Amino acid sequence: MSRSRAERSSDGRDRPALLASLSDDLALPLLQIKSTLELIGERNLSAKNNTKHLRSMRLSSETGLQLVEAYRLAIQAENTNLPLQPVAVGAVLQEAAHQLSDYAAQYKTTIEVDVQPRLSPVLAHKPSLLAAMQCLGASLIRAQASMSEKKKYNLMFGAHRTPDNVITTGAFSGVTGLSDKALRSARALTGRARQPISVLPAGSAGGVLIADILCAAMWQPLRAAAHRNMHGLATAVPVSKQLNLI
Amino acid sequence: MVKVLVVESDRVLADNLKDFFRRAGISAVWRRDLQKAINAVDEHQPEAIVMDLATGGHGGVEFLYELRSYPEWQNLPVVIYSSTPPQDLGDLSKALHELNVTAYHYKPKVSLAELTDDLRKVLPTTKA
Repeated sequence: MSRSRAERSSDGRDRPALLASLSDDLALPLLQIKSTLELIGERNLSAKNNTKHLRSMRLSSETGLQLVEAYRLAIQAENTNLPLQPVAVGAVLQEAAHQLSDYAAQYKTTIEVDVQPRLSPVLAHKPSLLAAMQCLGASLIRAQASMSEKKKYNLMFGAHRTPDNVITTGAFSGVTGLSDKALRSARALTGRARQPISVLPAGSAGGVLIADILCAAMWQPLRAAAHRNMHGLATAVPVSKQLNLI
Repeated sequence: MVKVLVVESDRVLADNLKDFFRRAGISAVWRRDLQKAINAVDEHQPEAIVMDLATGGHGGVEFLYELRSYPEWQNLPVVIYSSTPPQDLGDLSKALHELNVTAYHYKPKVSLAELTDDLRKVLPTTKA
């Protein structure tokens, strides 16, 4: 499956899907900024509200920029072999969680990181892994907040070693059915440059697709997986016996 | 204060819409889930609905078919505020026309002020 993705990528057939997904996903933070700017432009705005709106715009712009960075890495993955190096998955997941925490709070979401102790390092391209987890996390945060009405939500970044000696890592949600819908919507983008009415709300499927491409370039594409009774999307990383010694 | 129902999947956009409408003298109830939106129409009796077509897990067109199947809501004004460009709607354009949609606004091309002005046209009385 990884090979077919790579083959498609190499002849550029994923490019329209990537561009479409990027435009869809970038539209959301830009729309958030645009509408917030209109509110700030109103008279009689209290200092407290002004601060709230400025913070909201900062988060939206950071999300958009993260997406652009992930897109840049996905294009790089299309054209070159990513330089892999030993990476501690847990540290990357912690960093992704930290960088997304303010954004998650905006969507009433708490992020947890659950990594099995003593996981050996894996061969990865760290910037791509971080970007993939950020994109995936941000997409699932938005998707689960739009697909169910709860007062608060949880998102978990997790990693564990399976009995067949493979490390599974990804993002997991408590919302039932979200992972399957997210993956189907994301992969539907590959078949169609435009997806007028998607299963996921606007601005969610593209991030999953970019994460899927980045993970496929390093190891395997995303697949539906479970972690501590939560359902999500994860990639499988083969454990290197040599890296076990590091 | 007149009341509208906002059906929008993104919390940030929904908060901004509610804030803007409130300052324009329009009270807004927000639902992100279309099934709950049907219940909200019954519960809150809004004067109009402002909605996106693509919300989590459900299609806005199916929601409109259900809404219009109830006699008392067949003429309830519905303003679409959507991320989908009108030219990408295809056959859905005809369906939206048949479903008596009052106006279609493409999010990137409309300001909240323009949306509110358009909404005012279908509301009975709005105090600015």
